[in-house]
Amino acid sequence: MKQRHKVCLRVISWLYLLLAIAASPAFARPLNSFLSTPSADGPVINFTEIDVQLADQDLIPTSGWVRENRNGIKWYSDIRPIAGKAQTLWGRVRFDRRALGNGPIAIYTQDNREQIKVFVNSKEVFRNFAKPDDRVLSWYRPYIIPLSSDALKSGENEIIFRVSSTFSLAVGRIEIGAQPALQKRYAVQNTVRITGPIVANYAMLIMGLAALLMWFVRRVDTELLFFALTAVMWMVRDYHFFAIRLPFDPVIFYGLTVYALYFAAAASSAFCLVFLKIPGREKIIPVMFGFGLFVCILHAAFRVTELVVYIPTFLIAILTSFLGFMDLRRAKTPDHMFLSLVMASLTLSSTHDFGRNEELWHGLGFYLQPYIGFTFMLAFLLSFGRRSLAAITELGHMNQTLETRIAEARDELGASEVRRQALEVDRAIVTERERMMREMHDGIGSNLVTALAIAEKQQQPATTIKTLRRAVADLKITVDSLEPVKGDLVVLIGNLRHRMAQDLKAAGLISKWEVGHCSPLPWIDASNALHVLRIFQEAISNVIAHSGATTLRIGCHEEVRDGVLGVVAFVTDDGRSIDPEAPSHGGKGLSNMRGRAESLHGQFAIAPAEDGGTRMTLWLPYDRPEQRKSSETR
Amino acid sequence: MIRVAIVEDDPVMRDKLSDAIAMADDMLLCGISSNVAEANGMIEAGGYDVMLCDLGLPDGNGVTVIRKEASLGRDTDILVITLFADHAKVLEAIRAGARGYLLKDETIPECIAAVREIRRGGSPISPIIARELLAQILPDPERSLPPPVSPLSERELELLNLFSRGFSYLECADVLSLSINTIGSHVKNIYRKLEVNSRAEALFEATSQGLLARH
Repeated sequence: MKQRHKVCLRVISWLYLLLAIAASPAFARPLNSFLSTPSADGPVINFTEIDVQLADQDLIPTSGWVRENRNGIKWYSDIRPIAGKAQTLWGRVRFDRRALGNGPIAIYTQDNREQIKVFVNSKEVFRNFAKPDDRVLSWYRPYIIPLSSDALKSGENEIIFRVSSTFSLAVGRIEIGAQPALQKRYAVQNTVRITGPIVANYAMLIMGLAALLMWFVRRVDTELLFFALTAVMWMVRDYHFFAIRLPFDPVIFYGLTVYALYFAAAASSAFCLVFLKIPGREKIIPVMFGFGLFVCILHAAFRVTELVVYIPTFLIAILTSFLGFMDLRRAKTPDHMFLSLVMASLTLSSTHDFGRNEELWHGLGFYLQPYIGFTFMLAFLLSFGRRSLAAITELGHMNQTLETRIAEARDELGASEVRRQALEVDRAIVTERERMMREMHDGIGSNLVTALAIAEKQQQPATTIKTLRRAVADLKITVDSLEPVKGDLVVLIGNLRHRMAQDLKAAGLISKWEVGHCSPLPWIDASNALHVLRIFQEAISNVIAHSGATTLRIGCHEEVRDGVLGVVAFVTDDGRSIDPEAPSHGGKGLSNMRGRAESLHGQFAIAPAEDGGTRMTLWLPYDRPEQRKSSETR
Repeated sequence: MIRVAIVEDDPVMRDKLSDAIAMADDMLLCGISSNVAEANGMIEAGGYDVMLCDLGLPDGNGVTVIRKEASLGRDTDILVITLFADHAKVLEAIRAGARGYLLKDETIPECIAAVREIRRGGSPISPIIARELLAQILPDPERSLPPPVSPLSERELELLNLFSRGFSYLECADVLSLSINTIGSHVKNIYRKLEVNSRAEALFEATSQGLLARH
């Protein structure tokens, strides 16, 4: 009995197995077809057929599979589930182990929506959620699932995908093959789809917030506000590309994501129009935003196709780049060029992404849109940086100009202080001179002249009159030394000759004036002038008194002595030649002259003239030794 | 006959000058004043060709006497009597209307020669005075004064330059190939222009001060 029962059970189980096998569609249909791509690490196979079915259950369905041939862009069963209610889509592929190499094997998948569970030969190998209500976002995310060495058996193998979503349902691309090759594919896709957009969008958002802060400081710069708005809107739009989980209700989230695209484009356009100061922007911008609101309300209320949002977005991009390029004729700036190009690239990338979304083409294999906001940021940074640099350069120039002006003002002030001091000294000298003149006029001068007049009237002895005359003449010379001639030696000596004209005439002497070019000697003040005058007075008096000459030559000209430029003044007569050795001619007058010349730091000489007579010379430097020294050390 | 009037307070000097004029055959002394008050009366009476005027008078400055005589516009030549012929005193007198100067220590013949010279049309000029004139009569960009109302002619400027470089009357006549008389009239003209300019300056000063006072 027991034995029979055993046999029965075995038969039933065999029958059951046979039935099960007969009922299984897999047995009715061959393996799924695939494309095999060889690589150095082994082949990778990419399924062109998939068996799918909708079945809200946890167990792997044993029947009801429908074979789909999507010719390979996306393994995708586009079933729009009822919002709020989770639905489950199953996908299955079968293949022979021999199609794969012997190295480590992995599964690569992307574009599934949204919760995924993967089974290999009925054994779960991967899931992308922790709890059943986890709102994971996997529609754009690539996954790599390495398999253990015993996961696959020889011969036929089966991979099952269970995807479940409350919103949008799809089984994406499924590939299996050499793990290193797929790891590389994963790395690239993860970078361009996830890491790149994260970096680009957060960088843009930070810049946008910085622009917003700047706008608070400078409200007149509306482009800052529009840039901040651009950054925020693109962030809202792009968040669904790289978010791991839905942040809130999927219906609101997807609605926001769809509408944000229009407003991101509108804000970008507004930023361009304001930044480039395109004429008519005051009208275009409100119309753009107003129309956007209208379209969104239309879409939300009547659940019309998303194209009502996407097509105007596209038109805005075209319109803005068109206006930008048109305005290039008015203002050929790099800003115009760059921003118009970015706007134009927005239309190009939108076209690319649209085609990908509608499975018209594979394109680059990822969406370009998450990078659009970033290119705006680049354009903004470049333009803003360029303007800032120009402003800083301008500031630098201004500072430089200011410094130059300050330096000039300081120099001017210094010079005016020097002038003021010089003026003060001059005034003091003038005051002192006036005091002395008054003294000489009212005191000694008047008395001397009166004495002279009386002496002449009373016919006093000639020596008395001569002495008095001499005293008056001396006084006149002292007065002349006080005249403000500013170191003009020519005037000084010329005036002396003028003073002595009567004496020369009385002595029957013809005086010849031989004056060459001479500049003033800045160091000649009243006392130095008196030394010069006394030397020449003495020299001329000597000629009148002793020489027996008929002609007198007086003059001055420039002369270099020991490499120093100066002026030589002279008195030459055609009378008796002087004997410099003779003590009688030396006398007190001559030593006085020498003494005065020494005080002047000049060179004095008295010697026989070449053509007879005597020549007295006084050489004076333009700069005196102490001045030369101080100007050298300075 | 040159009719001469003297304004001088110092009796010795007065006597010397009257003696000199008395000695000259061609001169007639027709008035002596020893202060501003007397001089004013003498000016009103007039009747002289040359006035010799001292500056330091007991009751005022001889400059006012000179200005008064000059303002009448008569054909009178005014010589200022000066001790040293320093530029300050001489130019002050010339601005007032004098056309030359007479040094107090000059001998009697020299005094007579000076009076004759001024009547003949010549005015004395020293290098220092020429230099000062150049500085004063030329428009000065640093001063707020208006340009001279009577700018120097090219010839006058040339002449003034020569004088300031120490050349004498005779030498200037040589260099410029002019007669001594022409040189003399040029100098007189220069002096006249200085007088005209100083009057314009005084007017300008008064006007600008008036303007300042009004504000």
